[in-house]
Amino acid sequence: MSTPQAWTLRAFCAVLLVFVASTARHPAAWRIAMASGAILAMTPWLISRRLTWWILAASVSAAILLSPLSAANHHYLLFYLTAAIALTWSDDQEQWSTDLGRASRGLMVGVMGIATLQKLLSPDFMDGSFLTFLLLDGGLGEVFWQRIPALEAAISSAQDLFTRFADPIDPRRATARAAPARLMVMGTFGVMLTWLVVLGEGVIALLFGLGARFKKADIAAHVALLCFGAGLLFMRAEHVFLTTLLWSGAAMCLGRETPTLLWKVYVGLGSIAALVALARVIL
Amino acid sequence: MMTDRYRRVRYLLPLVVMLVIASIQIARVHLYGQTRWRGGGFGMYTELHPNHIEIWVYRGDKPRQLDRAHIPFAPQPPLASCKDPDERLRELRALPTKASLDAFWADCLPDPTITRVELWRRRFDIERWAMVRSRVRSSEHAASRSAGDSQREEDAP
Repeated sequence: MSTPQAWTLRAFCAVLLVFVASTARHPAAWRIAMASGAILAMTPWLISRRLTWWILAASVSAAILLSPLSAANHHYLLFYLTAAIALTWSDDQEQWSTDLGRASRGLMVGVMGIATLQKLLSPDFMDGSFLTFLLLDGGLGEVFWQRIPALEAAISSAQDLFTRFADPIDPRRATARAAPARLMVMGTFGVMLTWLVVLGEGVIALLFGLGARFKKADIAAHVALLCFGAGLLFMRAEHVFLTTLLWSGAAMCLGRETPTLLWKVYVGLGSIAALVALARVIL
Repeated sequence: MMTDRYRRVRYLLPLVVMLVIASIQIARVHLYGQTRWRGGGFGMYTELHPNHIEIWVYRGDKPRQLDRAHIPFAPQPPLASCKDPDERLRELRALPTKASLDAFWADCLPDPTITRVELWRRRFDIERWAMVRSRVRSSEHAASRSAGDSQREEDAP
């Protein structure tokens, strides 16, 4: 099978392999079974069977059930997408493409909408505290700040402070420790970034929702998602989630007249994210 | 017509399941203090990671941090000693309720000299421009645990 649908499914199997490679804490038996299943699912005989996708969906859900309080959000997203492939499966490839695209669109609106709601409900996020901490701690944009000596020195001093604060002799006598006042400008960036993220995710959810009916909104949604993906690729090492999200975006292009360029950018960006995720595991 | 409805159910079902699970997670965050990062609610990056929850163990009035999820902390006794302690620590941090704390103490901290266990949460407060630490849970039930053990011994045939 060398149809676009088959290659989309093979790309999904590759996402599953990245997921398994990056999930070290699950039992070896599960990891071997899941990886073997994802590789076998790429073969022409298994790729075109609905049961293959149900088995893979059950395997992903097992990872969630093994440790429900430790499972990351990309575990859940992968489960929903695998289940969507199985549920929408049809021998009529056109119909399957259309239905999988609709399921992916629904999930994208759901993920971005819920993520926006969670941010709006979190006081630590909305006042800028959380993203300011990430900026001070060097948890965002490492590839950039490590190349600017003044910024690197400032972040190193903040990291030292946070490390010392995290390891007191008695927590009752160490309830607060002021950050250096000279770094207060980071607070301004933190607040600006907070609103950029909330609005960005909210707009992506809205555009994908409108994109079901309006073609211009659909194209704008894809462009916004790709910008979000490119930003995330350089700002934070969340490559498994990013790879999954980009596959979902590419799947939405199936069964619709979407510019080929968008699909190519999804494949390119998704491949980079997947390779970086694997490189981080290997190196 | 029926076929169209069936198709719609099939492609909307994953979204419905996602919304149900996320609603449960959001309710648990607000009712039980579960972390937003876990439970399928897509609340990652909305607050500090649960690794910033500290577990403090007291012998008398002397505290010692049980574990820290970040290097270069070198854990010292007492250590969590139960089946899969790393997973138990992750679960306790993800759902830091009194019941979780008591269960963790009973299962993973057999040392009888421990008199109290506390959970503290670190966060950055932009208004104070400071890292702050506050106690979120504590358990001080050595006496009741002893009483419970005595009760179980009495109940035994």
